[in-house]
Formats: sequence, C-alpha cells, structure tokens
Amino acid sequence: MQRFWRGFVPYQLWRFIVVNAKMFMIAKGLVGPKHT
Amino acid sequence: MRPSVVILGAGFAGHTAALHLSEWVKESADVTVVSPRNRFTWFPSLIWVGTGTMPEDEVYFELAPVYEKIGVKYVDGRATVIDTAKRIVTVESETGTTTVSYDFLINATGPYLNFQATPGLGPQHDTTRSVCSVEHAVDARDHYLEIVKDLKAGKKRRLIVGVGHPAATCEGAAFEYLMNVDADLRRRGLRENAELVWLTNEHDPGDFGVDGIEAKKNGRVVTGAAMVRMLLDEAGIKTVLGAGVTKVEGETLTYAQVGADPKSLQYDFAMLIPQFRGIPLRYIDGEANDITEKMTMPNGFMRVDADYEAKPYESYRAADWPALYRSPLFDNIYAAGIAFAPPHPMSKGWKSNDGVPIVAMAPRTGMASGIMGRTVAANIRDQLEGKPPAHHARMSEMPAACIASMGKSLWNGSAASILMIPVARDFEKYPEYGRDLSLCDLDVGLGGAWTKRMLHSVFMWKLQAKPGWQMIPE
Repeated sequence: MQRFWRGFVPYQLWRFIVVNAKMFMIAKGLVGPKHT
Repeated sequence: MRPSVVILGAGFAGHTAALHLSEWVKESADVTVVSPRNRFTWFPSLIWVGTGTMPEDEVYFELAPVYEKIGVKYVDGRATVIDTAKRIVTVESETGTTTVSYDFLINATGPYLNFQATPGLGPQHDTTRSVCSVEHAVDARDHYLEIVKDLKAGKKRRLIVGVGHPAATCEGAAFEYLMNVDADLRRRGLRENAELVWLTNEHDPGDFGVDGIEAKKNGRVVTGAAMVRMLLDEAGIKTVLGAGVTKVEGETLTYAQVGADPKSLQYDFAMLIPQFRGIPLRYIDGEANDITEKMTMPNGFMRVDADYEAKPYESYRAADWPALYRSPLFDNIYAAGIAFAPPHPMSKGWKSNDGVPIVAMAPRTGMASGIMGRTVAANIRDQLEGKPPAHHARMSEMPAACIASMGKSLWNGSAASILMIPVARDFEKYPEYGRDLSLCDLDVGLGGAWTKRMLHSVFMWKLQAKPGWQMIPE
C-alpha cells in the first residue's frame, strides 16, 4: 500500500473499524471454522 | 469434598482458564492457580518497554487481588513435581515447599527461555538482549538508550534484531521490536548513523512461524512476504534470512544459514529471542517412577492429543493439531498455550551447508493461548458435569489476530494488522491456500497503531476481571 494511505486518517479510521469488526467476529466465532 | 481444579501458570492460557472457571464452576469446584511472582504480564507491549516508549509498570498487574475478587485460590510458587497417581503437585516458593491436590490439572506454564541452547546468548552473559520478560525488556531498554547516546555523539552503531536460535519462535515480536527501534531512531533524528539488521530463521520474510500470510484485497492476493519485504526496504533495514545464531562471543555472533557455510557478524546492540523449551516439570507415577519422558516431548513441552508421528512438510495435516489439549495418558491433565507440544512446525524446515536444521517454529501465544485456555476450561467443566469433553480448538481451526507495532505514536505510528483463519493451514477445507482468504486480512497503517494501543487497554481491563470482562472475547 502506498505510504499516503497508511497515514491518511479517514481511510485509516475506516480500516480501523473494519479490522476490529472482523477481529471481534472471528474471536466470537461468528465467522470462520467452528471451534470451542 | 469439592473437586479441585489446579492451573499451573498465569499467562494468557492459564489466567484465561482461571477467569472462565471462576464463572463456570464456582458452585461445584475449587479453582487454584499456582504461579510464581504474583504477576500477569501483557507481553505484547514489552516491545515498547524495550524501546523506552512505555514504562514497565504499565504492562503488568498483581494477580492475588484479582483472584481474591473472583474467588480463585492463589499459590505464589513454581510447580516442580506432579504425582499423577496421588494427584498432588509439589510447589517450591521462597517460603519453602508445599503441595497442592488436584482432581483436574492444567499445565499452562509457558516457555522456559532456553538461552543455553545458544552458547553465549542472552542478558546473563551481558551480550545480547531479550524482550521476553519485564526484566529483560528493561535491560534491553537501558542498553538501547546507551546506543542512543552513542548515536547522538555521532558514532556509527550496528543494531541486530531477530531470533537467537535456528529453531526459535516469536519472530513477530522480534519484528515489532525492530520496527519500533527504527521508528524511535527516526523520531530522534538518529537513524542515519544506525545500521539496522533483521536476522531471522524465516526462509521468507513475513513467515512469522505460521508458514506466511495471505489475504485477498480488491480481488487479488497480497502476501505477508511482499508486505514485510517492502517495509524493510523502505526503512533501509538489511536482512539476513534463513539464519540461526549458533554462538555469541563478545560482540560477535556466529550463525548458520540455509544453503550456506557459517558466518559471523559484529554488533553493538542485539536483541535476539532465545529458543523456547517446556518449563522443567517432573511427572511421577504411583510407584514413584519418573514418567516425564512419556508425558513430554524431547523439547520439554507436554504431549497432548496431537499426532506426533514424524512426517515431511508436504504431509502435514490439519488433523495433526490437538483438539482437546488433553494428555493421552491421563484424562484429567491438560496443557494449554506454549506448554503443549505442537506436532510439528507450520513452516517448512531447511538446512545449512553443514546440516544445521533451520526452521521458524510455531507460535502459540496471545490470542491462540487465550482460546486454548478457554477450551480446556470448558472441557473440564464438561467433565465435572459428568460429560465427555466436547470443546475443540485445533490451531487448524482457530483464528488469530496479530497487530505488529511499527511505532507506538497514535499520531504518526503504524502497525501491521494481520488476521488469519485458521492459523495452521487446512488444505482439505481450503484447497488453494489452506486458509479462508476472504476472512484473512493484511494491512499496514496508522489504524493498526490505534488497534494495538486499544487492545492493550481492553485486555488489561478484561484480565483484571473488571466489570463486563466476559463480553471481551479472547
């Protein structure tokens, strides 16, 4: 990814939301292979 | 008399198991944690302590008050012997030797930092540094700041960061430390006089002991190898790949390298993660025979329900990885986190010209350890209820999130955000890459720095059992 996007706050805010939503869903087991 | 669940170790796996058991079985069983030093350490932030960007007292808290709050007994000591017939653990502490009885046992003792495997390596020799404990990170910080002084005085210095053994793990933590040193030196305006070297046993950059990472972005596959290579190039960091340190003498380290003869490299500062082994624990049977060799693999980690048959990389299967984390010999003994013996690495192994095996070993830290802790807690709950254990979390079915810091600042810091599903590749379920690339993610930027800082605060809250901790997943 180009350096500009890595520090562009609106884009990073969007990515922050997406990554954390994904992380929460996989940690809760809502998506992906079933475990526990 | 109520049954007793004893947990050895209070790291990610052990402490997570204690938290859940305190909720699930508090009416039916006693839960005891045996761990030395009365401290939980949030290891992911030690890389910041090691660069002087976070005070050490922000990365740990005292365990005893937390356990008192949630009704878990705490024994401050180190387990040394497990009598599997009498179901007794011998515990050594500063005040002497005691014993703790168990009906169910969780071995979550974490790693023994095996500096001895690399002659001359480690803070005890005053040669290389480590960030594997609070004390090591503080030592690394103090020596790093001495280097900063030299750089300020206009001297040129070589800093080597990476792993200190051909079969070490935790390359991700070393990479974070490297990138934080780079960011800190740039912030101080001292980067020009510093030569940074990334020395790792990974055959390809971005392997991280999980056989690399991929994700789908805008319809195309991006790889961790390309991302890490780009980051290292941009930062002007030299790389020594497929290398394993075999000896350290003074300020010179010798390393084996894939397809090469032994080489030497001088350094002014080095932070090298040692090899991990299982914590020394002796297991005995009813006739006082030592059964440690039956209970553990040669690397000291505890055997569980994995397939330990030796096989080549091409034959690794998802089903090799343990599901329950239970001893095959005793149905009341479990191992979780780093303490369980993985069936094999996830990454391919290589050799140097003189035959030294070089392989990035499988990490079992952080999120994976937490999931294992919860899984064994759930299985013990099942057994206490008279049911067979029904909870499984193979590394080939569990996810992992890794936020690799590359500068702590919330204004101009950065981090790589990595999501893997599953951690160990499952080519039967996902024939192309062994992972679900639509769910995997790979990104780098300021948002990652926010996530890394947020995870520090959120998990320090959860792990102190503060209100609502149950809503925060592992």
